[in-house]
Amino acid sequence: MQEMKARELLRKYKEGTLTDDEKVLLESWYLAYARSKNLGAKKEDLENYLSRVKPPSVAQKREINFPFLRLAAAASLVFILGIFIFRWVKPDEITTEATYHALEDIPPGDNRARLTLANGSSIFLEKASNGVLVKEGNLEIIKTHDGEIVYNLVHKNPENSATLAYNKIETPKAGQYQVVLPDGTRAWLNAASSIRFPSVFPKNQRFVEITGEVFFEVAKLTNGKKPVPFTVQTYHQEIDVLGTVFNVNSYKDEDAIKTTLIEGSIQIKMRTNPKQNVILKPGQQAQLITKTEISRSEKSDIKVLNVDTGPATAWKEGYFSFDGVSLPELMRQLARWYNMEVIYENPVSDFEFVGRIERSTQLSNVLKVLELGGVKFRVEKNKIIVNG
Amino acid sequence: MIDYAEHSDQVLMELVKESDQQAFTEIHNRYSGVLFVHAFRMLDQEEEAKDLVQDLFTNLWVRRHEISLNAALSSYLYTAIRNRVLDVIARKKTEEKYLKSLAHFLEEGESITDQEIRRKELSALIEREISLLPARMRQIFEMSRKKNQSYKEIAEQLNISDTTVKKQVSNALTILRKKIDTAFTLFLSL
Repeated sequence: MQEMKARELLRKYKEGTLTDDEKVLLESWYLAYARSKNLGAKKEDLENYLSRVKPPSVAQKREINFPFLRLAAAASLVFILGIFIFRWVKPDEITTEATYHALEDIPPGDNRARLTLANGSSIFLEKASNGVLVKEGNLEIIKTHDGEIVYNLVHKNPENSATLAYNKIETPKAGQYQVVLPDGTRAWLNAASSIRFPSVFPKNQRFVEITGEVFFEVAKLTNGKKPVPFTVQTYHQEIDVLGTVFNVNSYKDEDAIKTTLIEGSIQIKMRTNPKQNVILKPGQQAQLITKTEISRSEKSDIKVLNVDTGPATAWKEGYFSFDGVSLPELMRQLARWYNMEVIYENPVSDFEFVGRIERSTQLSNVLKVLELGGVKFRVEKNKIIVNG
Repeated sequence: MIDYAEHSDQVLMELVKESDQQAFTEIHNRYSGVLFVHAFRMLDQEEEAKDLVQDLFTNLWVRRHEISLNAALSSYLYTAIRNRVLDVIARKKTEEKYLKSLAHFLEEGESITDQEIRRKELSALIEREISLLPARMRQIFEMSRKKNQSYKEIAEQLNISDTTVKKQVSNALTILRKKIDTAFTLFLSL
């Protein structure tokens, strides 16, 4: 029995959904385990191991570079106008230097996702043919075309069923998918994302859980005269809406959960502290900082910024759009869309990228554009190695 | 030549924020040993432990401008390594030994509800690993502990005010900055 609970705790840790009490439990266990655990190596071997624990290539770099040069480099921002370069110079016209030869071509991501039904069975949507995939009572799940499935209720006003049957759609890295939920709400899933929802919503509330990045067009719905709220839960935060268009980026490797509102109005609150909440107007973005290791366990605020919503939602239109993003942030986006791992050979310089590149571009061409800005890349199997 | 080993963690971290790589290396010299042994003890995997430590330090460097420490650097690093070890354990959650131990703990273990006590316990557990370090590494770590007394403790010992000590620290930084500027000027005039 406890073993199931143990599994559950670890799963929730991974998803970042532990409650405060559960966190105390897990951290306490960690300490107990550390206290009781024997070291699996002899002291003599340790010395050997330790000699191989080296600082990540910073020291090495120092010998070649003078520290003051690095300081100067850090102080100046390098802007790369990817959009202009990319539009004006076709990638094949860029002279291929010797360094490019090592670049293998990695194709971009495409439409793929796995649908898991309440009974646990799952369907790889990219492999299914168009048409009705599942018919269950009042519900039909239809693949309308490549990259989209629709939940269709045969009778529009079903009776409330006693138990909710949860379905889940997950995209892998290098995958994206679109779904129309049973209430008519549309959701676009970016790579490495998921959405979990009941196949039939209860009459007076709609509730979904997501991970990663999802763009929503929430359908307005009323029960009698009362509007039926739609709630989106991510780790750390909850978003309450009536009918709106917005994008949520909640990848766990990003520094912050970013919720960008295009239309309507939404309320965002922290799950650990629902009193911490903000209401967004169109053109605003809420940022909930999650990353620094300390703030994971402690409370942080939700910041509201006025932004250009274009870059936050460009992925759905088939573009990478960068508006002054750092190299690591940009590389995380590429990693997810091309299913690559990113390795830094040196500490990263303070580059800022501005521009727009089509998501249908082969990886080698994307890297060529970025190399014009002075960063060097190498591709080895599924790794992008950044030198720069 | 400035000896970085003379600086407290706090000064080193300020320098790292100014992209001083030698300061970064010094932090690595101080902490990589205990962090590695701890991760190794928890995971039994040399390579994995090494990767975690490497990753943690890469992260520290990459995010040096964003990281704001509201506790000691050691606390930050210990929490970070714990989170990373837990990430690995959660990823391998089917592995018997962790599940069994956790299940057993749920059965009869006792939680430490006070966050501060958990933090201290974690520090103690990680710092006990110094007994396993080679002599030179142990020495570096132990020396650094002395440099790391809080402003307040130093102030008490020296019988001066807390602000005076802070001033000393910021003076040390100013001197370093000047040296860098001089080097830069020299470079320009070459």
